Amino acid sequence: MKDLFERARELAITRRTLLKASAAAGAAAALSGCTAQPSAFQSPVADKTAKTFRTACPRNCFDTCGQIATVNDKGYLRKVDGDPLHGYTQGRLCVKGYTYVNRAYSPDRIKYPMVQEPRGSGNWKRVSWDEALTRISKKILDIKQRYGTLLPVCLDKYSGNFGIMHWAVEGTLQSMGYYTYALGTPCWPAGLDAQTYDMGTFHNNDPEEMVNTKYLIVWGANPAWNAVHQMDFIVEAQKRGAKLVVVDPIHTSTASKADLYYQIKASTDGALALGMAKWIVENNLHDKAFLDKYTKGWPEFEKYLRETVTLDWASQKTGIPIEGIIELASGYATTKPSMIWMGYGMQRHINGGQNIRAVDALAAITGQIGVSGGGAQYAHLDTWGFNFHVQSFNPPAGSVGVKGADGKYSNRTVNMNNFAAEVQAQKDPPVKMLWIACRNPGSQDPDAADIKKAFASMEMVVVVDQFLNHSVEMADIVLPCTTHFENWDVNVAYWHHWVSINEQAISPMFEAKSDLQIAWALSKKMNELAPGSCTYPTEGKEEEWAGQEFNDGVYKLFGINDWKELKSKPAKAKLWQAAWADRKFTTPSGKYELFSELAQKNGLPPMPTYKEELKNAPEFPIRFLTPHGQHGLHSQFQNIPYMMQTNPEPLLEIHPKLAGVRGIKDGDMVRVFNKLGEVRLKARLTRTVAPDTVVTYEGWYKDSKFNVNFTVAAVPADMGKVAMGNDGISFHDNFVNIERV
Amino acid sequence: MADAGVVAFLETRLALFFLLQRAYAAPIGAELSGTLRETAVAYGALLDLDLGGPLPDAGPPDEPEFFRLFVGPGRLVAPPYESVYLSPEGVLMQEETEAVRAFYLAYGLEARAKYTEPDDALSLELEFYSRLQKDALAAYQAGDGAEAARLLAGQREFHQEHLRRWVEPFSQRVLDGSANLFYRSLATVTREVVQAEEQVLVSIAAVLA
Amino acid sequence: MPKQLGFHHNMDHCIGCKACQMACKNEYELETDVNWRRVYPFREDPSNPERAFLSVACNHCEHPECQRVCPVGAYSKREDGIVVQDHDKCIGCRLCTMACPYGAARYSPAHRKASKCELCHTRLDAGLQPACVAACPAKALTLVDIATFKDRDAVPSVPGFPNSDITNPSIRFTPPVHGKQYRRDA
Repeated sequence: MKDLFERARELAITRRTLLKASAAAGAAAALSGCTAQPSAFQSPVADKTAKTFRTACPRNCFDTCGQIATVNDKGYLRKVDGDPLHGYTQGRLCVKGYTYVNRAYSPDRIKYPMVQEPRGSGNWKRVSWDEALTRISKKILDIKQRYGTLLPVCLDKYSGNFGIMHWAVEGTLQSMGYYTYALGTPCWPAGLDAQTYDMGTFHNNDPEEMVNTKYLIVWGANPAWNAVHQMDFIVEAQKRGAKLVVVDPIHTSTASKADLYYQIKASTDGALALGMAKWIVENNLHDKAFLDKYTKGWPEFEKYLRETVTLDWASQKTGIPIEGIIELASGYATTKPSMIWMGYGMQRHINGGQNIRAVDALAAITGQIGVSGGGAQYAHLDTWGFNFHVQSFNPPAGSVGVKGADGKYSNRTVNMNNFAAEVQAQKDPPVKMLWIACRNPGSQDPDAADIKKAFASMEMVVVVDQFLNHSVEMADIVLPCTTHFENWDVNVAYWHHWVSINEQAISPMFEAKSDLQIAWALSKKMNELAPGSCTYPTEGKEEEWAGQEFNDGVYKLFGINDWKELKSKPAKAKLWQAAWADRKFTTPSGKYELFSELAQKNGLPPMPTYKEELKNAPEFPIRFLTPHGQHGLHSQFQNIPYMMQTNPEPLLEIHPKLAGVRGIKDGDMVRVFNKLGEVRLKARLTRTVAPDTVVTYEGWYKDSKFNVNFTVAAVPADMGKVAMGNDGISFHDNFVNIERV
Repeated sequence: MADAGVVAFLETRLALFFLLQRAYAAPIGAELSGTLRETAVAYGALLDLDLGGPLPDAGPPDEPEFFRLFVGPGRLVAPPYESVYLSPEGVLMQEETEAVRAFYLAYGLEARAKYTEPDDALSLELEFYSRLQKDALAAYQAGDGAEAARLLAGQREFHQEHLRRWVEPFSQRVLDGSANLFYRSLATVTREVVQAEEQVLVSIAAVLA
Repeated sequence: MPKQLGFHHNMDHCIGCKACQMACKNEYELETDVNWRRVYPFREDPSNPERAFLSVACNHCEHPECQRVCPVGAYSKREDGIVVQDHDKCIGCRLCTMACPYGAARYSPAHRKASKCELCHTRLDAGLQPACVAACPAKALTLVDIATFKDRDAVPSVPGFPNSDITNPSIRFTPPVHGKQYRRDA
């Protein structure tokens, strides 16, 4: 090779090109000595010291784990462990929790605000926060001006992050005017209403005291996958001599631990409970003293049991032989204390609430309510008495909303559980803009095709998220949000009774902001463009705002004097061991209501009588169950590389008998379809399911269009309005046909 | 006394690295891509490499493609971060990132966004590498041979321990995952230029000695 | 018998939740495709289809095949019975991954080396439990000294577990006990 430098002497490149190169490259400083060009570098400042932080898993889960996040002296998150001082989770996490570093540092995270033009095209470009917020603010102000109200702006936010600070999302919109929001909860409301009709509200025993039971029926719950820490207490109860029974249409991992397993036909749980109740009463094993003293409507219900219910009928309904029903009824009624824990899957039916009432009734007629090691366990919200200060800012003066009878304005609601249809049906004014946070309707809402239509009909869709999921794909603007290691929060659970403070462990990755920081920044921009248009503060310190969520009631409940004490250990609420131990029910009568006038007033059967389950159309003979999976929580976690390695694709669990009839072999691609849509996935032949049922687990896989909800209609459950504003969804009343592709 | 040929060579090389840095920091416009082409052609001529040919003659690079490849919001075709290629987990903020940070620190620098953006982002590594080149050039021109040699040693080490090890698989992901002529060319130029540094650094060292 | 640390896997309590497998990856920031511990269905059990599990890592064998076949002497057995690997010595020849009956040594194509569970000996030295044991929500996995371990329900092997005659692996199992089932596919 000719000497490089001789060649350079004869260089064809001109001085002009070189200068152009350096100047255009923003590197004028390089050759001209000018120092005006901002650099990505600066003079070093000292690094941090290695430290651990208390964090809490904020997912929609029974366990809400206390965590210890280890951060090294470079400020990098290195490990996430369970917090040994958290008495319920006891220093252990689940398969999902141990992937958190992998998640926080995934190169796939949404890093900057980005704009997609046109929506759905995949043509994204990065914009500054200032530009993103300007676009959003201008659209909001434009809508407000055109319609004279903020009602065309609709919020859909739910359980993607259950940290208290995330109610800043509601605060964001509320501080700009009266808006439209998705009301309801898809998960659990039918059961909440059932317990509300029965007992006045929903409380649970301290789940740690499950060790005290002698007979445990886990009815439609799968803690081995979805509440792993409860398994420790269950195994301990077994060691102390308790019998474990599992009732579930699927032979779950939990079921495999049971002394007795019942593969019930889905949606017929009420029939099993009523059959058991009938046998208990006929054998004089009911607790007459309890029924006389603490219940209302026993004579009527007893009459129904004696005159209407037969074991034959219960057996036919449930698919369980009579001797099986008797075995369960006798075990439950004669072993004390006996506890029932009901999961949320069993109430995702058109008769789900009514079925929960029937199961509750078992606990009542055996006098097991208010008993340590007994009771009908479902859920609680008894530790959630925070200030919700993040949401406490009112609409600007003069805001116009839905006018009430008293002349006052309020927000408008659409049914979260029929979101696509209701958003599109709004007139006067129509919905024109969606704000989506802590939620992924694109993959989690029923009728996914209709959700697409709803998104497409908007003038603007803003989604706040960490990954490009199906909802983000349909957005105009995506805003990157922090993981819980990057923000402050306060976390409680709907199952255990602990509270955790979530310390910020690391800086936000890239330009991610927490929902609270987004609220501040948007308010600043709104007020810049239209002073007075938003009442939300424009700045603050997150840690101080976390502190502002606490009040004397919360302090008293958790036995602490200052929220900062939670930095050294989580605290447990000083609640009861057994819920309803005083038998002072909060129903209208003050008693356990086997006969509920409130239910009757709401158009429901007054008693836990049987409500017929949904029947399939003849062309769709197979029930398609799509419950929670092991490797994800709804659409979170499954996309993380560690998880994709562990569970690379969704499988259709299908019984060998059904597969044989349809000519399907293990590993074949199967089309699962009904009138609404279809989903294609690989067959897994297994006896975990019954021959009339197929199962896969809902979720969002990386780089996959897989979405079970293309086949799920937005059919309401029977209950949910009283506790959560709207009825639940009958996710599990889904009938399909299948064929080999 | 600085040799005019050496200075001209180092200036051309520096200009090209700055332009590459700029092209990975954000989408560049038509003018800059033209300048990048001219500079690459000139530098390629010096090294007997055909660098300019594949770079398109006209038109700015496709913006959405830049974001699809390197920014998101979805799964990145070619994440421009060293640790994604070299760490066991293949994620951000790993030991490689720490090593790069330590390297910057040894030369009295740190990234402004060190806690929020990975230190081992390609545009940052290229900016750092260019700064070492720039300072070495200045030292050479000022007749400070020792300082120039120190900064050259830094380049060699940084090239050896970092750029050389991951620019190859990174460029390959662009080539495998993009049909866009500009970005395919950019990847090729980057790979060739980084590869050529192996020899270039030896040649420069010989002159400085 | 000298001290021999190993695992006791109570399959009757194991819920197959994979927390152990993932806790190990979290602890050692393992490559995505490398699992030092693996949880997999115990398919020999027709009454609990899919829902009984084995959780297996390195069994720190009495006669480790990895040690025997390694051409560079990367493997050694400590006094407490833990089999460790000198990762710097590993040349990535893959003889150990082929020789180990339990698939404990895992090869990384990206790094051209093999690696395996070393029973968290640095955690043990710090008075901690192995990461997998500490993570188990059902307390189904425990660290035991095989030399002194006594449990009348525990067995050295179960159907489906690879033949253990040659190496004498330091693992004991408590097989699952089945409950009564009312199923709808009779």
